[in-house]
Amino acid sequence: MSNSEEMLASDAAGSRLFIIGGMLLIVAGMIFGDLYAVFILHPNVDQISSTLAAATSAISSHDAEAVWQHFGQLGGYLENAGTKKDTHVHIIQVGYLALLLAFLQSRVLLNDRFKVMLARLFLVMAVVLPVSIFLIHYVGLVYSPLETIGWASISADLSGLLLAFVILIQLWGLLGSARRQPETGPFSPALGGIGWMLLKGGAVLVLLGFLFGAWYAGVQMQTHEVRELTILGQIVEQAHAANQTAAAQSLLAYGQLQGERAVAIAAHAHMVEFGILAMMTSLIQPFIFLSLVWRQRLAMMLLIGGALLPVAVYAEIWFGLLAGGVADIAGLMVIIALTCMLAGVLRHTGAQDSRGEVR
Amino acid sequence: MNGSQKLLISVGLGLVAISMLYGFYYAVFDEHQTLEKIGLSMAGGFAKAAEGNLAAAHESLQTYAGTRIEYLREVHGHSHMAALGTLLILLGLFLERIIASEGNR
Repeated sequence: MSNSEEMLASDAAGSRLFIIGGMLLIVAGMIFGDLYAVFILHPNVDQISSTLAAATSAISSHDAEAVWQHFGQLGGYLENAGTKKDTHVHIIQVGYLALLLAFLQSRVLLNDRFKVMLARLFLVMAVVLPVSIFLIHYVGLVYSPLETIGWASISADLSGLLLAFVILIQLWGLLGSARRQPETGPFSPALGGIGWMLLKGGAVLVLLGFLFGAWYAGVQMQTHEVRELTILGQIVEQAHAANQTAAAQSLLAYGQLQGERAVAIAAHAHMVEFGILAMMTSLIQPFIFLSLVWRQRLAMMLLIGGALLPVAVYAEIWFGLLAGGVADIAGLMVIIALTCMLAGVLRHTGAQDSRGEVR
Repeated sequence: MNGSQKLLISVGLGLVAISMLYGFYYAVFDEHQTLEKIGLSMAGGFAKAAEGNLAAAHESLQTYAGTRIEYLREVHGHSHMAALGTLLILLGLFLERIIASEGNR
């Protein structure tokens, strides 16, 4: 038996649920991210900019009430963008965890039926959490028993708590296994040529992401924070002096700063996330029932897309929407590669089922 | 599972669980209040300027900047803990494939 067959045959149900569920979650999170970037992000930025400009004009007209009204709208736009971004991040993160838990199942010392139950609970909550986060903006405080937290937030919080509970039980089962069972051969499947390529490519991306993050945190982050306060101070002073031209320039500088900050953080986060994804997909290569040539193409596509996206996102500072378009295409490359890999995994499990290896 | 893998994977799972519990605590007890303070202090800064009180406007904007920094650090603490935990579990899975001797692991 090959490594992949051993893994699926020895503890099929829990691992299989986690692998397929995890990949589906990651693909869904990435599609959501691409849709968010294309259809929501840029219109939202325009709405925020124009509302802030209106609030600045209200200072010049000494209309404090209008300022509060504009900021009320601004809060709504920011919440809309923030919850969409959090939805995207949380779907992918729980997808990664599901994929990793798949490989731990054979060493988690728990009853098989209980393991399947935990896998189902994890995957249901992994869907409930991002859906609840998505709904926070739309549900608001309708029928909420609390003053500041709505039903969607309550649902997101509880699903997060249940996910933590499943992780803690897995940790308990793993520690129990480590105490009671002798070492039983390699943990992860053997890596072939494609697996090593993805592992090395992923490790390089993670390392670059760390270095970029350290550079941003050490050199840029505090400068950005100081610049933000300085520009905001200039906006209110210039608007108070009814100097519309200077205030408009300061608003432009404020928008530019927010853009610089957003792309730097997004480039760092995507470099690390795609690196982790490439390393994870190296583990699932033995489960992909596709020809070697196709698996090579998909691995290359994933690595190229994963490396290109963060660079294109950062290049948005200089090239604007052109770079944004390249980033969207790079994201699409990763989505296509991952979806095809998922199809290969489904073919693998189908082939196993037809041979009667998995009950 | 050897000792080094057990260490990496257990610490990784532990970090992920702590990050989730911290996220729960933060979302329930702190996040909404912090976001409200951010919004009120920034809007307050603009409103004070509209009323002609520039000193109060600057003070309000200072509060905004400080609270926003605090918010970002807390959110980044949550996300980085989860990402680091994920990476530790992943390294634990690969360790036997990339480093041969248990001593070096």
